[in-house]
Amino acid sequence: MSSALATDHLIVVGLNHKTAPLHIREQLALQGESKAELIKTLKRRLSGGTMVVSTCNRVEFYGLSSTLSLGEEGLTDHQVLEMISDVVSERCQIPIDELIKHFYIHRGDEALHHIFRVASSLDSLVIGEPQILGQLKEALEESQSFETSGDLSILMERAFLVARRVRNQTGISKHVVSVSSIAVRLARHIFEDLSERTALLIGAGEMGELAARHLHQDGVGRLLVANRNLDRAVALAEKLNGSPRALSELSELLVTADIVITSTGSQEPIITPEIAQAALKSRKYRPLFIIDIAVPRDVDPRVNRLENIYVYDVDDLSQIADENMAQRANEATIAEELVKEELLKFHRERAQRNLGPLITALRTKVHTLKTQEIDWALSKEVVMNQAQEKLLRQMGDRLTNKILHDVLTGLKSLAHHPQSEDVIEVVSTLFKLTLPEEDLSPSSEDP
Amino acid sequence: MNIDLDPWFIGGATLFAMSGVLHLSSMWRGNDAGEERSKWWSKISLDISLGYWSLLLVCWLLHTGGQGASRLWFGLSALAVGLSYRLIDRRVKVRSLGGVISALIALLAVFSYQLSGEPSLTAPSVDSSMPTTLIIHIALAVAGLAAFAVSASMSGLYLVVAKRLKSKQLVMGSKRLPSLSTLDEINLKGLLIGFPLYTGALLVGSAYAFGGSGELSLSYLVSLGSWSIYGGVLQARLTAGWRGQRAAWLTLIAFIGILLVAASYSFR
Repeated sequence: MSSALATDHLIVVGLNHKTAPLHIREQLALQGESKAELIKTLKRRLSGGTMVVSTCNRVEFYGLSSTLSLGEEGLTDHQVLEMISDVVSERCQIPIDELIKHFYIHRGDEALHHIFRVASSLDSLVIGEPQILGQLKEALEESQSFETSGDLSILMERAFLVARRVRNQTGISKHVVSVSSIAVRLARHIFEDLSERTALLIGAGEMGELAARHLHQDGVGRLLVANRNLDRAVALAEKLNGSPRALSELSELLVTADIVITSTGSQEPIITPEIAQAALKSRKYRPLFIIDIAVPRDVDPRVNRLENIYVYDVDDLSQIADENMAQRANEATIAEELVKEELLKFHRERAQRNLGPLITALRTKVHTLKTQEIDWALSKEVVMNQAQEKLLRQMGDRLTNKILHDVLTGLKSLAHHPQSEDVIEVVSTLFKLTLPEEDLSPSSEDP
Repeated sequence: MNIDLDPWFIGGATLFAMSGVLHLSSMWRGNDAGEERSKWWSKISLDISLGYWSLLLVCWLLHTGGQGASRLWFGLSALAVGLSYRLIDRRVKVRSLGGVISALIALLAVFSYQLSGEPSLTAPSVDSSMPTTLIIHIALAVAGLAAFAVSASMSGLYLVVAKRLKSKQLVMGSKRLPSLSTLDEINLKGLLIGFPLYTGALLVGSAYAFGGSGELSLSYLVSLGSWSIYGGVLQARLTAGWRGQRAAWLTLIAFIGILLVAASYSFR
């Protein structure tokens, strides 16, 4: 292979939350054995590096193989889509036509750009969410464990570097956007160490349960679950690893708890200023954080006016989530630029790496030709003294050096040119040069 | 050689003020890299300012032989407040307080500049002729002021965080603010350390004052008023379990009283 531009052989085929409905994504969400089989089958068909990324919002197949290159010997987009759909269809029981309808395909630079964007969480449903990077790493590890990753590993490592840079240099993942995460973050503004605190979950709403789970994961010391129906409280408490309480004990519970999450179906507020004031006095004005996720509200808005009680209702939390989402969108614009910059940098580095061998090969070829021609001339029966022979050799050197000088200067100046890879390809074809395989690994100066 | 060190004192105050600005600006950096850089700069600027200030105080002591105990009082107070903050910042991340603390130190440095070092009745020289009671009074007052300054800064920040939480303003920089519980805890510790020291300073100061003119000055009364508020807050916190905004407000008011007393010495 001449100066093999490996990213030309890179391909991404997949579907995500933008191109496929949930039921299709659900059917494609492969796990364990079936996923392993799929990776191995793809590897056999493509005879190159393969990897499968499967999350709840995307399923993507990454391939790096000369079979995938465009051109006379390579496969067309449709052929690639058909081949992958065929393999996937067998395992997921989705018709090939249906799959092709939802699949997208990216090749070469576009594919690499896509991978960089996915790793940087710019293509996620919730922009900036941190899970995708871990999921990509897991996918790569899985592929490495089946020995199917090939040179894809190097490209993926590069994508992880880009993602880290995006994360470090922009605020894309700074602002939490889920209501339950915001509730926990707010609690941390009031209480430093949640392990010393008691949380009280009132009612059995789904969002309340989710927030309680988040608190539990964040290490809240004790969780109390109160409900009008004690049996339901017991069931929910078991599920959440908490202690059940009757809602009739609310006044006492408000003295004990530090964080209250309430989501009952009550039509009237269950926490009134009077109840809250009495609790505040009994708790010696220790701060109390109340998250009211119920609609209509469980907490009278006047309670927030009381000293050391902080009440957040569902609108407050949603507003914060929206503001944070807007902040992320702003940061995403900066992140997109960073990704483009990294893509360009990647190409420049590769061009620089390829230029060295090209220049060496070109110089060797011209000098070999020169030597051959001088030797040919000297082999003829022309009488030359030492001075004349020396002059002939000097002339040969001067001629080749003068010819090479302009060519090599021109090539070196191309190192930072976006089209340098094409030029390398052209020069190596014109002069019939054989270049060594390129090294895709990141340079040491990478962040 | 007679060197005028006064401009160097105002230079110190400027350095602390600049450090305060750097601390405040570091709270509004958008990304991690920028945040780390500005965090480093704000920290280093305060360290440089404190180093400069220590050196200046030593030079001033050597040059003047310590004429003007009030200048020393304020100079040492500024240093003690800065060092206390750096000590707390190592254990609990309260970088957001750096701006307030630097501004407070700059204020004490200005007070210190105001006192030209002229020997007077209220500002005797720090030499063998200086009464031991006055030296002890200054030492205790400096340490007490440092503890109260930390306590007051925590109270100020507590009120800011509480207000933001109440009004649902989770603006940029909020993440870098410490939690209410941390602020409350450090506030209490500051009071527990500062109150006995300040009590000692008042007792020794009273003994010195009554031994001299025997008059009850306005500054003395304000000091006593601040001490009473501190005593009240501490008692309420320890026995009645007081927490939160009310305790924070009272701590701030008491500290303003102490600052007024300090200012009255400075601009006399």
